[in-house]
Amino acid sequence: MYQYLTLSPGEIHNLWTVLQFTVTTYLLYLRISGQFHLIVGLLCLFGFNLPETHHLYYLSSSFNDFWRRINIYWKDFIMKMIYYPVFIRLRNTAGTSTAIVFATVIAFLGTWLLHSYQWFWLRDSFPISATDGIFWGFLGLLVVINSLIEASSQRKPHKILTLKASLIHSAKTVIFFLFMSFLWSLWSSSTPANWLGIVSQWRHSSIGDFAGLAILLAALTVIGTVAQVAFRHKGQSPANAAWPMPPTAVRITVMASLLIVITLPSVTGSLGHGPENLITTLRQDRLNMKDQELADRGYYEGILEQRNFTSALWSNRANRPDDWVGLKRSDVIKYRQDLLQYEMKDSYAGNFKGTLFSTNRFGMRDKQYQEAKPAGIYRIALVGASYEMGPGVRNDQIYEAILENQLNAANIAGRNRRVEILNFSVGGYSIVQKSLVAENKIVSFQPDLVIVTIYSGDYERLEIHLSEIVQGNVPIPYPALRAIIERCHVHPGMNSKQIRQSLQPCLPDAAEWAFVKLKSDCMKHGFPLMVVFMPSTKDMRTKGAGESLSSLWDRALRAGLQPERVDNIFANYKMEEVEIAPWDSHPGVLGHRLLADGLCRLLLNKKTEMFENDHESASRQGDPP
Amino acid sequence: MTGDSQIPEIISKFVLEKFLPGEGPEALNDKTPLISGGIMNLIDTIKLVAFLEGTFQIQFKSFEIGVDYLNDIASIAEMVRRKINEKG
Repeated sequence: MYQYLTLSPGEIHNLWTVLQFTVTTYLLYLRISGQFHLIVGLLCLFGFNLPETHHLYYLSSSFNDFWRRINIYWKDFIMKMIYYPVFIRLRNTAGTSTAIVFATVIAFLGTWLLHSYQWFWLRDSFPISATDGIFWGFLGLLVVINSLIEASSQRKPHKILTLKASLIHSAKTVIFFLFMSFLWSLWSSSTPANWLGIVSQWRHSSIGDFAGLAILLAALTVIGTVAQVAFRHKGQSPANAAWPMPPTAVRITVMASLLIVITLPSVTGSLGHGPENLITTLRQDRLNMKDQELADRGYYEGILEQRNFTSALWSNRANRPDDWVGLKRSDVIKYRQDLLQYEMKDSYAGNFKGTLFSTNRFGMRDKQYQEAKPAGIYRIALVGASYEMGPGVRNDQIYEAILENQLNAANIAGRNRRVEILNFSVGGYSIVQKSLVAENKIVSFQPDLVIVTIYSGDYERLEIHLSEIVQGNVPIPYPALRAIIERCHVHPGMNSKQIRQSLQPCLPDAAEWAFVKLKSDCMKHGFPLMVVFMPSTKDMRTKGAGESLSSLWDRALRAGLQPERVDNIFANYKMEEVEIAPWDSHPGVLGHRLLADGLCRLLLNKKTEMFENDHESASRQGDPP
Repeated sequence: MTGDSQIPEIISKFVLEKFLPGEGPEALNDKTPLISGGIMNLIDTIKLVAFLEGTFQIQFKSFEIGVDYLNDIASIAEMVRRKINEKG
C-alpha cells in the first residue's frame, strides 16, 4: 500500500486519482493496527491476554461503530479518564442527553489534545492545526448525533439476516468507508486548503468516471451482501459456512513461504531483481517514491512538511545522521536573487552528506583548472545536477572524475592530448538553470564539447524551480519563458502546491524553451552540444519515469537536438548496492562507477562525431579519428 | 428492599429486555460477556447504570463504569450487593 499505491499531490488529476489518494491514505493506518496486533500477540505468548483491538474497523458501518472498533485501548482510556467522569458529574444536574453531549465533546477534545501531546514527546512541538480541529470536531459531532439517537431509541429484536438487511448494511459500510477515507485524508493533509486543492481535482472528470464510480460502489455493495449471506452461519458452525476459509495458521504459512521463495537466488535469477527489491522494501522501511520526493524536497527546497511524516519517513529520518542535510540547507551554496537562484561557493571545503566536499576557485566540485584552456587539452563542460555533483561520495569517486580517467586511458583525444572534464553541475538544478549555466558560466573556459545531462526527475526539478521563482517574484529576463509561465495563471500569492499544480501543463514547453536556448547559446559560441539522457536509481521504482523521459526526449527533438541515451545500467543491481544510503537515493560509489562506464561507452561510440570538427585534433599527427 | 438472590434476576431481565430483545433466557447466563462480547455498547452501559442506580438506590463512581465491573451479570450483581452493603 505504502510503497506502490500512495500518490503524490502532483499525480492527482481526476476523480479516480482523488479516490486513490483518499483511500490509500486511510488504508495506511493498516500499518499501525498491524503493529497493535503484533504487540497483543506477543504479549499473549507471555500470558497477558489482552482484549482484541482494531477489530475489522474498515468494515464499520457508523461513527459509533468505528469508534468502538478501531483503537479500543485508546477508547477505553478516554472513557475512563474523561467521558464517564464528565458524564457522572453532569447527569444529575443537566440530564442524561446533555451529559452525553458534553461528555462526548470533551472526550473528543481530550483525544485531539492528547494526540498533539504525543507529537510533543516525539517531535518537541505541540501541533494545533486546522485539519486536526476539523477531523476531531467533525468526528465528535457525528458521534454525539449517533449517541443521542441510540440513547433515545429502543433496540429492535434480533432478526434472521435477510437479503434486504444485508444489502442495507453493506451499502452503509461502503459509504461509511468512503466517507472516512475523505475525512482521514483531510486529517493527514497539512492544511485544509491543500486538501481542498487536491480533492477538487475531481472536477477534471467525465460523466463516465462518475458512472464508473457508481458501478464500483454498487459492485462492492453486492459483494458485501453476498459475503454476509454466505457467512451468516459461520458463527454457528464453520462446516456450515458456504465458503470455508482455511485456518489463520495455514494462510500465514502459505504467505510466508511465498515471500521466502521469491527471495531465493534461483528464483531471483529467473525473475530479475524486482521481487527481491519488493521484499527489501517490505523489510527495510524504505521510503516510497512520494516520501522520497519529500526527502528529496528537503534536498531541493530545504523544507520538510513536518505534518506529512509517515512512519517510514520517520524511521528513515531516525537512521539518518544529523548532519545529512539537503544542499539548500547546507553551507555549500550561496543564494542569488535571479533566475539561477543559487550556486556553489568557490574554494569551499567542508563535510557534506558524510564526506569531504570541496569546490575549486570557480565553484565547481572538481579539481583546480586554469580558466584559459591550455594547449593539448580537449575540454568537456559537464552541466548536470545532483548526480554529477556527487553528494555522499568523495570528489575522486564522482562519475565525472572516473570518466575523465577512463577517456584519458582510452586516448580518446589522441596520444598527446588529454581530456579535461569541467564539472559545472549543481544539485537540484533544473533544465532552465542548466541552460543559464551554459549561457553564462562555461564560455570563458572554451570547452570543445558541452554535455548536458537529463534525468527522469527533470520535470520535478523544473516544477520546483519555477514555482520558487514565481513565489519569490523573481524577474524572468526571457520573454518567451515568461510567456510560458504566464499561461499557467500563477502568481506569488498562491501557495507552493497550487503554483506547482498550475505549472504542470507548461513544463514541457518550458523544457523545450531551455533545450532551444541551450542549442542556440552553444551554437553562438561554437561549442558542440550533446544532450545525454541518463538513468537514475529511482527509474525502476518511479511511476511515470518512462513517460517523463519520453516527453523530455520529444521536446529535445522538437528543439532540433539529437539527444543521446545511456541505458539503464542500474536495472541488474539491488537498490542498496547502487544507492548511497537507505535514506538517500543518490548513487553511491558503485552507482557512480556504473554511470561513468555507461557514459564512457557512449562517448567512445560517438568519438568520430565528437572530433569531426575538432581542428586541433585533426592537426596532430597520429591522432584520431 | 430487594433480596440478594433477586439481584441477578432483575439485572438479567433488564439486559434481556433492553439489549437482547427477542432472545430467550437461554441466551444469557451469569458469565455471558456483555461489553467485551458486543451485547452492550457505551450508551447501553449508561442505560444499565441509570437503571441500577434508580432500582437499587445506589451511586456509581466513574471508574466503576466499564468492562472491569460490568462485563457480566455476576460481576454486576456483586457490584450492586457491595454498594447496597456499603450504604448500610
